[in-house]
Amino acid sequence: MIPGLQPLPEVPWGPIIGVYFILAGMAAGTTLVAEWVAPQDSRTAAAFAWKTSWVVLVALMLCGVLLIVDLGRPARFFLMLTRFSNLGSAMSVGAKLIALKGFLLTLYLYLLHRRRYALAAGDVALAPGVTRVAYAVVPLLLAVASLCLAAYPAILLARTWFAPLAACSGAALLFVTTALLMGAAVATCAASDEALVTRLRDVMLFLGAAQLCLLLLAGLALYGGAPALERALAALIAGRNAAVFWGLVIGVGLGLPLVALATMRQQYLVTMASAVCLLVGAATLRFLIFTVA
Amino acid sequence: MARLGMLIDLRTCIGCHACSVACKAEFDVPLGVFRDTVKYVEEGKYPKATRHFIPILCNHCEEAPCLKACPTGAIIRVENGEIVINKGDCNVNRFCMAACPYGAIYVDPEEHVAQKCTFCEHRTAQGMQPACVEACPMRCRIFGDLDDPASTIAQKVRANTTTVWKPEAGTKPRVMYIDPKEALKHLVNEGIQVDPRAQMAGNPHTAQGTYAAHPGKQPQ
Repeated sequence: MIPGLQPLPEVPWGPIIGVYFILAGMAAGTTLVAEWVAPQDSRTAAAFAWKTSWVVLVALMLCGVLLIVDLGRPARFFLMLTRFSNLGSAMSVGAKLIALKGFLLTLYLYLLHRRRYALAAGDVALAPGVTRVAYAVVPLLLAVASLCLAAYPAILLARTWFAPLAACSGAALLFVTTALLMGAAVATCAASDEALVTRLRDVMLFLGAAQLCLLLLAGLALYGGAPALERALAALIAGRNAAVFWGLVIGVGLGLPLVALATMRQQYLVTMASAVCLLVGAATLRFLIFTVA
Repeated sequence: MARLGMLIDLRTCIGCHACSVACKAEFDVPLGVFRDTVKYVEEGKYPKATRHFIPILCNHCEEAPCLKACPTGAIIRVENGEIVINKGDCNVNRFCMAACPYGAIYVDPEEHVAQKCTFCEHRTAQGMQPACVEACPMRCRIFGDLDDPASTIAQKVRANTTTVWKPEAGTKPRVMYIDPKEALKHLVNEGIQVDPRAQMAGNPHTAQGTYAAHPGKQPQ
């Protein structure tokens, strides 16, 4: 926005919604990355999925709490889940996506609970029939719901007048990559197996590089675009958000961890620190897409 | 079925705020929020400075973004085309406010629900005119059925060149303006320009908004 040009009314959504977008992205990304890097060994896979799924459940519950706080009372949140009269509303679909993911996640945790008991009893093979199908289908549906949830803020914000960056052609992809980066960071912190950490290190390197390229392409798409888009780009890279963008998103959030991951591959602490940096950078970028106008 | 709309003749608006006051009184609108107000926009510089008065309200758009945004179905279009909010169904998620390019919706600080101009649906259903139309001393607002060729509004639309606020938004507003001086273009693109008359000591927003249409003319 042009400095000194303050519109009325105020932007209707505050930082609570920004934090909600971050947590929803983290929850979605963690599920996706956990599925992506799932170890071959049944015991390690079950333990890893168990741990990451609990993190995701906590993040989803926090999302619900944030939305209830923002709306004022729980009944207002549940109204969005129970009303089907306007399924063309991005917010209506989003609320139902969160509920669907919560349901699938609970189901998956139940399956994982049974699986862990079975593995502990030495029963490695899955029973044929419904059990085998459930163990294959539930994580798949969970991944699909998570992918939708990761990209969902772009669809929601593109319908608003105050988040022009979300309406640009790379926004949905950026929301997906930021979610995946946050998910990879969380998964890295949750992983206890060395081979898994090594795999996640490569995943983070790939996602970080992809994010850098996507940011460049999104910048090109914004440059020379509609006036509102150009103003948003200027505010992001040279305006009042420039320090946060260059410092946290590019420097701390991408540059530093990518160099560290590429050059000091074997050091566990470096990997963990890089994961935290990537998490901070991706979360900040999601928040900036929401706030920069 | 009627397709109700409003035509506002900016040539005759004197910015008296009779419409705003009538609307406030009709709906008991709390302090600090408006369903209908008049923006003052300054253009040019001395000795050729001009001030325009632009009444703004919900545009009851044909392609209403608020209608599509509402996740609970609280915003509906009634048979005559007026868009209203069912208070009981509103969960104050504010997506309608975020989607409306005209900033026409607000959260009522007393009732804690989204509210906006209804074209005085309770009055028009009984064949009466909206409160703002009745109150206008210059008769610059004309309300009626846009599809009825014999209606005053339809005749005046035919006889004049009309425009809408933010046609680029693609919302097809039912509030039209006769605006030969192209004053609407000077309203800021995002949000709604602050009414400088509402400036009060210590309110930085109003001081900025006064010069919003001309960012280069900040007060020294």
